Amino acid sequence: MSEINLDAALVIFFEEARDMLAQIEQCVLELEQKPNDVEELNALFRCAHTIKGSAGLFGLTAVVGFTHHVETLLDELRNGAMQLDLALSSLLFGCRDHIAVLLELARTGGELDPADREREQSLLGQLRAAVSAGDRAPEGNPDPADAGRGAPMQAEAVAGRDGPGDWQILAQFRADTFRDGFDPLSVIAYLSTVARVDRVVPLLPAGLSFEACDPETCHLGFDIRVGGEASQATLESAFELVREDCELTIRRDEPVPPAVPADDGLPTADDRLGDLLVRQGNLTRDVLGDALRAQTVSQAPLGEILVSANVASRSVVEAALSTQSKLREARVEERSMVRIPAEKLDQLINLVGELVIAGAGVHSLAQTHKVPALIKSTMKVNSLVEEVRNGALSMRMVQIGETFSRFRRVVRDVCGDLGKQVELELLGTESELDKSVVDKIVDPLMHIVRNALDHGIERPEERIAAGKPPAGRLVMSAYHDSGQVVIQITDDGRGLARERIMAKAIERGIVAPGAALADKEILALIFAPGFSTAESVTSLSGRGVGMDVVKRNIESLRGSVELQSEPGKGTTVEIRLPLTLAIIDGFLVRVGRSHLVLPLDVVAECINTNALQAPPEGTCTAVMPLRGTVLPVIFLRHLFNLRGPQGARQSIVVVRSGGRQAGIVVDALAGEYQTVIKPLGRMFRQLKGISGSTILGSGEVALILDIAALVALAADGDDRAGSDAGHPVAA
Amino acid sequence: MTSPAGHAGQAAAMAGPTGRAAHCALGEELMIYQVAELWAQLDACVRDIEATGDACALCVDCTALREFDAAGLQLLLVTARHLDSMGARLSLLGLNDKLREQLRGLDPGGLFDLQALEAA
Repeated sequence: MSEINLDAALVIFFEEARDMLAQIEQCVLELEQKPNDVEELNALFRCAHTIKGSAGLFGLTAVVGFTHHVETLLDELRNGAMQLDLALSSLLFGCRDHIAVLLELARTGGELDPADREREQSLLGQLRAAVSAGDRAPEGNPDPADAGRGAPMQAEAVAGRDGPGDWQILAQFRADTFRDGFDPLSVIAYLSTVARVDRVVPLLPAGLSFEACDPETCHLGFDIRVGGEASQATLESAFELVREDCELTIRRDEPVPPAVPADDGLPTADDRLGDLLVRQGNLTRDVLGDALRAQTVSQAPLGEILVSANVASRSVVEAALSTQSKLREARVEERSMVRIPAEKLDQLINLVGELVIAGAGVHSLAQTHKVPALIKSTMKVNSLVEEVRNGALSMRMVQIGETFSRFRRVVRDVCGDLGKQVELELLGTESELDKSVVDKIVDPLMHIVRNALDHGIERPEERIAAGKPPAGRLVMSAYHDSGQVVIQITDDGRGLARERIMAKAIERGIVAPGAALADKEILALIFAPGFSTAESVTSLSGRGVGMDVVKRNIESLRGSVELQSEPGKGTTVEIRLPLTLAIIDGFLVRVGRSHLVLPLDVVAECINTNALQAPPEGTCTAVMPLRGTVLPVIFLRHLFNLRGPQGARQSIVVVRSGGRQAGIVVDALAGEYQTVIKPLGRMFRQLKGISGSTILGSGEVALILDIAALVALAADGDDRAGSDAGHPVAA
Repeated sequence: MTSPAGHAGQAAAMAGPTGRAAHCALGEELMIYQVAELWAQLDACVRDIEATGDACALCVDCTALREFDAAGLQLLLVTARHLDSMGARLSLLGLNDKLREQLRGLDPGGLFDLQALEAA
């Protein structure tokens, strides 16, 4: 392998290891709820095993060495020598975190600092103590079900049951099995905990010579005879860990002598049925030759010919067909996923964005020159570009559940530190949003969740005294609404104390003493820089550098954050984020000489009117009747001081955001428009009501409207003029 | 655990035919991390046996061995089979009870001599 390829492989390893670490965390959390869940335990073991094995390939000895001890503990758990309890799960979390540190150091080329080294020694000591306690446990526990555990394979193998079992398992491990960190002996040891292993025969290819043997390449197969009550599903499950590294055949033990493996080993996905049966020892080459000759005459399926000729039983043929099918499915599955670096996707999306702009330019020229055939062609091209755009964007969409899941560990650890009980509920985890948004939302969410746990949810005794259940409830939910994703974090804690917020705000000079603020404004004070109501600074939150940064980060994503809180009942933090930061379906409008874009998803309807009066001087909002309701409207011309001629008729674009409606008054509607979002320069970021910009086909710049801000402005009245309500206008 | 490299046997130092047996020794682990190094050492022993033509056994001191995996087993099997084809035997000496039983269960063909160390 060339150096470049090795570097690329290492990058992939670190990415995969990160996924594995996340999975380890989820597995341990699941096992805390269901300690006997074999599937979770297997998955947990597999993750540690994979990290160790892959790290070994790259010579990351520190990772291999430490993970080996973790794996030993997991093996004890898997073998039933011990059971997961809170102390063990905490130890596993600690080990998981330390592996993350070791991987990061391996990635950056750093070394453990003294504190981490001390922590490592402490963890290793705990691991050894736990394993040796597990090894001793069966002696004090005469449960017959535990017989044979710990060293199950040798116990079964020397039991002297030489007679044939009820199942024959042929397992041929792939060449990279050892390098992938898998040990077939561990699998067989595990098998003997779920079934009665009568005999294990290691198989080596006859042509493998000592001189030609690469000892790190796996050439081994095993012929395993199993008796007793085990089902095929049970036997298959024992090999789940190595499913991708093992070609497995499980069949009822037939009175056929154990197969002598062919020189080329056991079945492969390329094998046809006849080859498979020969490799399994159920057929000789001569018999297969006869059957194939018969097939050229009868054209019947080979399996049928073999069964009708009584040279193979139907069950053997069916088992071989099943094996063949599984091997081929596994190969297809291996090929069905491609891992692509995020920056390559970003590059693709940037190029698609440029393509959209260029396409719009060509279309604009075609319209200017009024060439019908060219207009038709550019429309077709633009339609295809739109499909490419959607495809490219969809590649970067990820479910938010993965992000939410991280908080299960946070809740567990924080509650442990604080002596609180909290049940976390995750809703809408399948909601998708752009990966670039997801990456940037983790820190704000972390702060909000920690705030809820630290300050919101009460201790059990306080909750009981308040007539609440001792365990608090924290709900993280996500859903799509009007082209945005809405994330809510709701707790059933004590809620925000308005009087304390006000007192602190006055103390910090954020508001003047005696100022009369609306409820919403008081709650919004916690987003002020440096604000904190915590009685003491804790390691979790309350440093007063949190919520203002949270708000700023969310707004930098073109999002918004709002609070709702009821004293004694709890608090909800609602974050609204755009689904993507790259390209949107827009709705182009014109005010005077300026073009503006609204996200198409927020547009509910458009109303043309010539009876709209301008708002009074110095204001930009008003209200108008709309089918029996009052619709707040906002005049963009007045809000942004836009110049240029105004026609006799105006249009009102009715938009929805956050469950509220508002009308946006514009001069003309230009229709749908693929909008490539360009960030605003630093100078313009504080502009209220504008979230970005785009380039039109003509080369002109159009501003993208921040609908949430405009709806809030329209609904709350014109704050430019300091009034509390809009002015009524006729429609 | 010490570093994987630290577990390799001291075969090189101890290898070489002594009378009618060649000797080498294993460390605490016979696993994927050690097999490449050990293969080279066993290869040297095998070549010595081939060269002298009078050794009937390769004696491997397993007194320190605590653990082996499938890679270790594979190496032992390949070596034993090769020796068998030369009319020699692979003798594993000083195995603890647990490992001896485990290997016995995995060697139905009787390729290994599983002897106590004293038997060497």
